[in-house]
Amino acid sequence: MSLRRATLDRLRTAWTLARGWSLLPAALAVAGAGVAAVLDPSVPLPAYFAPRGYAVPLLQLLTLPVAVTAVLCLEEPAHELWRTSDRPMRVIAAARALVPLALTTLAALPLGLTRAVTIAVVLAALAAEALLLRRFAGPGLAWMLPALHVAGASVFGVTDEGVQLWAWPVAVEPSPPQLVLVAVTITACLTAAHRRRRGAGHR
Amino acid sequence: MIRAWWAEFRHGAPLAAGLLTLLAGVALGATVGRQPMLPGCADPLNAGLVLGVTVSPLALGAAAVHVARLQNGRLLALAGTSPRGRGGTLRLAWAAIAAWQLLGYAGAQLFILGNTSLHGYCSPAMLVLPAAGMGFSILMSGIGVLLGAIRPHWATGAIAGAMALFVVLGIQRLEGPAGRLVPTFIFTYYQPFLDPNVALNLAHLAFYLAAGAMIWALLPMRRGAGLAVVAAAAAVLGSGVLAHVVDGDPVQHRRPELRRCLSADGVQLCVWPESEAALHPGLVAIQRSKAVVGDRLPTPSTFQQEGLTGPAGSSTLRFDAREITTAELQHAAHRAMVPQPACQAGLEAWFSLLDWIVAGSEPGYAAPEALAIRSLPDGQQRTWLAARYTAATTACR
Repeated sequence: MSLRRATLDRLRTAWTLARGWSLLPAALAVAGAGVAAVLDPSVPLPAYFAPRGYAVPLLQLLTLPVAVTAVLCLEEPAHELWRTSDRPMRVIAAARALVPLALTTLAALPLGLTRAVTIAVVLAALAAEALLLRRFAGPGLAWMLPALHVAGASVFGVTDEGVQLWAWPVAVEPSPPQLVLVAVTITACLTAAHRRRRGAGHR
Repeated sequence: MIRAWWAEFRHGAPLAAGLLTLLAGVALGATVGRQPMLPGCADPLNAGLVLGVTVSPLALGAAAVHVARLQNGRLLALAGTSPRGRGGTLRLAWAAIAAWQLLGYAGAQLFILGNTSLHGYCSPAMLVLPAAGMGFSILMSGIGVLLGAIRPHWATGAIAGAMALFVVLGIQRLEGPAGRLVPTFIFTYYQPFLDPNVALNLAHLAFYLAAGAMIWALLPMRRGAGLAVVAAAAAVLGSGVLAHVVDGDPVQHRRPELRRCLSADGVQLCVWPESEAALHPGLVAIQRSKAVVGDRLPTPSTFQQEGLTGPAGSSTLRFDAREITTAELQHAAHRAMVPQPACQAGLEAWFSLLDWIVAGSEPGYAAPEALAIRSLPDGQQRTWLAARYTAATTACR
């Protein structure tokens, strides 16, 4: 085998590993988050109990698609086969999922360290929720739990007194109790999701 | 048929998505029920409607995921060879997802109703709120089934569900209380004198049912269903036009008028039966305001709560019936001393008069200009007041 062909094969393999199940949704979500970080528009929420209105930066809402698509990056095209591979596939899949989260956090850095930390925390927690549902219902439905959380928080999580404890996905500056709740959520979801899934899984 | 539906209902994506929707609905319902709402049925039913509509895009996504799994597992192809056929199997999937969605809706609604006081105004007209919400949820599930059948890909459910979520949230926000495209009326609080707009909600419901019928006719996904599809499309168009032309105000005044009245010292106040607690303190507040005004302005002798009709020359006492407080009633009484005009020119004069009354009642909260007027000699004050009273009562004629 010529050197050129071997290099091409290695590149092709690297691309396949990097691509995973599907790279495009995550790439689009991260691109959207990048644009939102540059323009930094605010989006008014349909907050039912806050007639005076409440707005969040668009980037904060886009943490939902980024977190969900990052979790989908864990999937492999032939997910039954990777267990027989001699490559560290779990590590590769985890790295693939972490890249969109890291890129979105980096995109938020020009907005200030506090904003970037908030985005990172919300991303991590929403991804943990998606991981939890992926464990029990498969990757096809993994998006539902974080989506329900963001939708519920957007409509019912804000009152005239402020953002409620459980509505941390729409908290622009999370309070200490909210950060504690986020930490508990991440820990609980990751613990529950850690057990290996039985069988081949379902999409 | 029931057995087949039950098997669909308790397995796979319908079970997972349905349980999640049910749990989320109950959790959100428990949270929503703790917020202050008006006693009576309309506010909790409206909150339940908003909750049901907010959650329904997830049923759309779940339905698309379920159908994609059926398709990719070749189960739909297999069903195509059975007497029920492909269309029947898709309809069964729709029924299973929609049933879970309605269960979630009902659970959330029960929690909200259980946490609020129902000892207020309830009317049959209010049932249009859950009816519209349930119709919307069923339609969203149907759209999901249709999308899943058209594009049986793993991403269809997630993308369509997320897009529907952002569209529904965005429309709710953009429309505010208008509620043209989705049947929710956020920022609408049902004071005791308000009923939901029955015609508008029924038009919405007709639109959802017609659109659902069109999806039902389309689901076999083959030629031959043309007539049913055309008829359903015509119904969608007709009900859509109907929903557009009816009065778009989400609320209408309650009928018939029932009132409780109290009179003292030549002053009468009438309120809705549910606001009876405001009757005595309201009358005391009116008499305090009249004492502040004295004989410097002509004041009405008959007052009624918003939504009640009164005789010519009477004034409307506007207060938030959710929280009847002495301070709120006093402010309402100040505002009722001069009937509120309906145009900008009149309003400017009316606000000047209101500031003058507040300066006499609570000087600590008064505007400096009003305090300056108050410090003028009586004759000059009367001249100033007469000019503004004339403007407030005649500028809008």
